[in-house]
Amino acid sequence: MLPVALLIIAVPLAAAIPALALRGLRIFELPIAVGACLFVILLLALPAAGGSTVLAIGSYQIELNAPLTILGRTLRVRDFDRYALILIFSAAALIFPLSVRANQGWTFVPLGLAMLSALSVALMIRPFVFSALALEVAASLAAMMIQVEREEAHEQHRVATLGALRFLTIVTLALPCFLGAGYVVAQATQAVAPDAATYAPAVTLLLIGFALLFGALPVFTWTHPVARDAPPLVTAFLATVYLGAITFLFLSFRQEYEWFRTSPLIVSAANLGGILMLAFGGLTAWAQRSFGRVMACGLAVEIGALLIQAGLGTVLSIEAIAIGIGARAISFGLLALGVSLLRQEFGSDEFDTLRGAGRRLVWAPLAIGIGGLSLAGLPGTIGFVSRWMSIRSLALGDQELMMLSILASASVGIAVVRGLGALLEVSPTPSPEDAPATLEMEAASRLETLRQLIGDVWGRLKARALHLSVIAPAVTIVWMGLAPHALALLAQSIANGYTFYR
Amino acid sequence: MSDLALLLQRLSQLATGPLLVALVASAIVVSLIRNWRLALPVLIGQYVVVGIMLARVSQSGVAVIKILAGILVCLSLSIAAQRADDQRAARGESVAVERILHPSWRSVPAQVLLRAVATAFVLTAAFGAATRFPPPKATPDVALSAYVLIGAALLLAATASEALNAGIGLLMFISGVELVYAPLEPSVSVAVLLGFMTLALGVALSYLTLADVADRARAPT
Repeated sequence: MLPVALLIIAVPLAAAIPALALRGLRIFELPIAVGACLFVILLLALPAAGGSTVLAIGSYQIELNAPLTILGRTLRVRDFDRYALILIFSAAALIFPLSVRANQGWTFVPLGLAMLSALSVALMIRPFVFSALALEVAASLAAMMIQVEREEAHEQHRVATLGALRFLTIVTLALPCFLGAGYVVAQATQAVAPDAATYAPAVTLLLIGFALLFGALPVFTWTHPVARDAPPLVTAFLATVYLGAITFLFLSFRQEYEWFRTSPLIVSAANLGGILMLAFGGLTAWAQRSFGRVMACGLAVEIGALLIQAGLGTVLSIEAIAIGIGARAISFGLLALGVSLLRQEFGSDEFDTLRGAGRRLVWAPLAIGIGGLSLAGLPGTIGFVSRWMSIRSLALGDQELMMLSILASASVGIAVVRGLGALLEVSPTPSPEDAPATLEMEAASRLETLRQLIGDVWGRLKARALHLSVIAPAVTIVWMGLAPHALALLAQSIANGYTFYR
Repeated sequence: MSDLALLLQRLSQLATGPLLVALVASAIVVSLIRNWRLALPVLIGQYVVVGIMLARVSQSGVAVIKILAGILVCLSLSIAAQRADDQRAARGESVAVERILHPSWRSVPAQVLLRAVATAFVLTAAFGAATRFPPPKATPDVALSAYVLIGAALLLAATASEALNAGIGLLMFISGVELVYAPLEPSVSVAVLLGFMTLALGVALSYLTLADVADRARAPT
């Protein structure tokens, strides 16, 4: 008998080894990464026959719910984690291929895979204090993804360690909150008649811990430094995969612990954090003057909306969260790809230095336009579906929050439009440092001609890969915006899983 | 029981006073002096003292894991710091050894004085917290040690701009948290996972230490 939990941890880790060995050769490392993610998704999506068997190979049976015991701690794919893990691995499988023509550094794919493994451990392990340890390991890996030495000579975007350090520090500060909460819960379970007051310290500690992990305490934590310092797709990976895992960990706490679910502190703390993040993101987004900062403000708005929905804990709000994570993977990913192309080509993402640059590199404004406007919730895109779900959920309760959420999204949209305006401005364009010069084709010999022919074909293939990496997610955003059935179905399964207590 | 664990158990029977003094002194040195050639050996010593204190409140195996993980992390950090210094030397910038041999007396007193005042505040706050909010199941010496480590770590992480010093702050923070947590959960498996986590953090910090030098070289002057 082979527990699926073991494969969920081992497959990404095993795939990380060849991806690390073949780092830089994206033609190999990307299929490895996507293949590993798809394999895990397949394992989780297969119907469980005869209880929990998903696959039988000879005498080996792969069991979905079978426990995996490491150092006396149990890891298990619970029913409510199953679809959440599918969504997280799907988001990673969407984001990895976007780096095909936009170098994110050698750490992106191998450490991204290892991080998926650590985040899966955080979701599956119990008692939950060990989730905090797994998150710390994931944060250590994330720090190396954020702070990567990019090799390109024309990559002049300044790389500082502040983002990586801030991220690592915040996750480390959250660690004692989870350890302390674990102790309080262990004590409370030994009490004769534990009541809400017995669990109150655990609730407070967990709320502080989650607020730190979400980046909501203090308001300005890792989002801006990370968006500035990290390769853009790494920011998208953290915004989707890391935040998704934290969100589902929060929801699994609500699912498992009644004392946590019924605490009145949860809703008020989530609302406070959400309002602060929405207000901060919304007030600052429209005035930003670089795409990196627009991404950071967009992320702050996303976190704010997510916190408010997580506090509500209704079926509709959890559906909105799940659709939001899926939408963020594509929208934020495409926006990040556009920003990455600009940084790679022009060494900057500042509006002022990129005036007219979009006319030289047409794929970048296309990616930023569709990705950014989808993030802002433009109708006809998947981002709109996410916003609409969120609005529906909030309309039943606090309508002021709903308006705040709409205004904050509009502010992000204004920032994206301002950036696009600068990109498409008709003005002399900055020339890239080492733009590929037009080569004088001199066929001195047949060998030389052959070499040039191969080079030409390779160049066309690379250009085709770039076109595909922009067009495919752009079409997906619009297509899923018009027909979001598959994502809605997954979101519904997640929502039903995390609200068993109804 | 291994010889190392036995040795730690014997050491843990020493008087509390010297251990506490050594731990507070190490926290002060690391907070005041931002030079890895001094800070990292002191940090190794601090790991040994923390290990001895852990052996007093938990199994000696837990303490051994803590010390070994700490020493490994310090070694990896020192290799990264040495490589970073090599790069600085190649660019003609001052390195850690030079700053020890030829200190810049004009700038040192102001910096150290400021840090000393902040450290004094932190130590006072740690003493107050240890007496007013003692952690559950912790003896007064362990409580004071934990608060001193956590306070000094937060000060270091908040004020240091370099990855290495901020990282030392994070490592001290984890040591402080472990001192509070060990009496509550004395199992070896938790210690193993915490040790593994410390190693992962150490690898990330070593990487950031090297990246920091590249960043400062690239920064516009």
